[in-house]
Amino acid sequence: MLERFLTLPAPIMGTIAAILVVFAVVLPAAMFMVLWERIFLGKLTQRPGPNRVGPRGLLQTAADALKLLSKEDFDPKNADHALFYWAPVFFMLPSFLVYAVVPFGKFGGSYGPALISDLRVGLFFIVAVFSIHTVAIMMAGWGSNNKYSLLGGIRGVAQAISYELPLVFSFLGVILLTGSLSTVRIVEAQSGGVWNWYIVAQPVAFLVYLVCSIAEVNRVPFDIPEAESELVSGYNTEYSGMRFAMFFLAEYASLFATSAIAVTVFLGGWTAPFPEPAVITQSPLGYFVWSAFWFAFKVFGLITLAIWIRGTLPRLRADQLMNFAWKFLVPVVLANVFATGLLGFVVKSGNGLGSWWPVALGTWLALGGWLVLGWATAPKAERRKVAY
Amino acid sequence: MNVMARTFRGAKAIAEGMYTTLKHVRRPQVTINYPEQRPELAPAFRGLPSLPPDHEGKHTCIGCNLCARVCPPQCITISSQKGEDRKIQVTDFVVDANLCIMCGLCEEVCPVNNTLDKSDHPGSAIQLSHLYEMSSYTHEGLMFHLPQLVEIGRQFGRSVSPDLAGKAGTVHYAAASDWKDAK
Ligand code: SF4
Ligand code: SF4
Repeated sequence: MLERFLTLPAPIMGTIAAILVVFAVVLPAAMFMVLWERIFLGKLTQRPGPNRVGPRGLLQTAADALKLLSKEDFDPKNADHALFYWAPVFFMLPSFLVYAVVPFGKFGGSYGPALISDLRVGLFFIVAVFSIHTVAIMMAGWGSNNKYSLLGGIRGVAQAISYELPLVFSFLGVILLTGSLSTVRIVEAQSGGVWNWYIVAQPVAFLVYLVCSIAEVNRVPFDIPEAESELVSGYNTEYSGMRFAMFFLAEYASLFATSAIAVTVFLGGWTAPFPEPAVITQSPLGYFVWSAFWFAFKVFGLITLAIWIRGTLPRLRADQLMNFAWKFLVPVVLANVFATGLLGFVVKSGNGLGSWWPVALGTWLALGGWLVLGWATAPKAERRKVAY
Repeated sequence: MNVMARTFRGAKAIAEGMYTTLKHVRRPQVTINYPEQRPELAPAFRGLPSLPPDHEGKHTCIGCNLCARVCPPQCITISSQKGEDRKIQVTDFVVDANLCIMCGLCEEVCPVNNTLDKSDHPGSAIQLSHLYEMSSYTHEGLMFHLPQLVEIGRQFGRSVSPDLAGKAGTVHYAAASDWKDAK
């Protein structure tokens, strides 16, 4: 058996190694993120955060997981049992499937254990897989046979459908510029330094993606599907023990996943923010560590930003949420796609990497002009600094 | 307001909010790590009622029963008898901490008003102490009797520190030791 495994062709070995790396990294990382969120939220609100279990509270999440494991797996009498049982699984699934196409490093000249599969429709796969979330939320909401869960589920679906649209469109500009749906090609198109990252050419798309991804993973300020104070945790009201733990962990795993996607599409993936010194590319393992570090660093930064947002913004009302998605984000992101197409292909300046500078110039000018016009037309009182 | 002005307003509000929360990261914590750190109690903090002793180590209650009558949850029970000199002697004084709401009415209504000459704890015979840790596994454990109340008054009562005695408004609190053994 082992012999047959060891004689497998190298690409398959690489894929298996990559799957192992993903599972070995994502689960502990999600647990660490729970801890980091609690610590950083604590800092934002002048509290110490967890500091009892283990040195400096480092084992808090492990203790919580153990507690949830040992709890009763409660199943409401009138629940739709099949849906109720499978919802957490379906909720967890997409956050892991997404990593199938996310390159999180480079191993010498190839990807080796740093990429599971280079799909030619990578971004399409990501978008399709991430919609499974919505199904899981509805399964949990409906299957619990509880009015609060159902309300939470319905809210979750309405929100996910509304925000999926601008989220997908925010990728379109990048796809236009790269000319490919493959995540590997998108990352490679961004290599060479921070000025090549698509956040420079597509700032509007990045902002829209940031908003939509937070809405997709149901975090504050878009957490009305699981609003504790009004819906008693929404779709996961009836869940306890390990099933609740799966919901809980999957929320962080999907935050991790959306951040990884944002890094891949807009922040240059595993590439360093400056041209790589030639020394680094010599040894495959060294290069792997180097590139994986940059990937992890950017993902960590984005997650911290999400936590910071959670510590700042209040929850939106359901109608405000819908208005914002349909009346603001969708037109803005469509305009972005239009402008990218126009500036990138009509006002084209040669081929190659630097060819999209008109797009960058145009979008930044539009963004700046929009805000300046907004400042100019805002009522006088709004312009002054608000006294705290 | 047009959509641009609203975008500007929203962006500005979010930026201001994010900056405000970030500023709080550097501020000192408000949380007290309880068993290791303890809160600094205000002088008028209302803990368990106690009977602080006078200079002879005796409580100064005259057994008038006023506190027991005013107490809203009726948690004070006083047993007394007439002594040889026809004065009332308090034989037991029970404060039921299961019921006490730390309202301070007993202290307010008490007719006794000790001076510094009589006691380190000037004021009423019954005074709300600074004791707030009384947990017990039984209801019985929360029934505080006369010797315990005197001991609690001695240790946790409002008192005038020896070197500051006479200066109005200066109070000091003794450190906690075990009051549970007082019989
Ligand atoms: S503090 Fe209030 S409740 Fe407690 S014994 Fe005194 S009067 Fe009764
Ligand atoms: S504590 Fe004060 S009010 Fe209560 S019985 Fe004694 S003297 Fe009277």
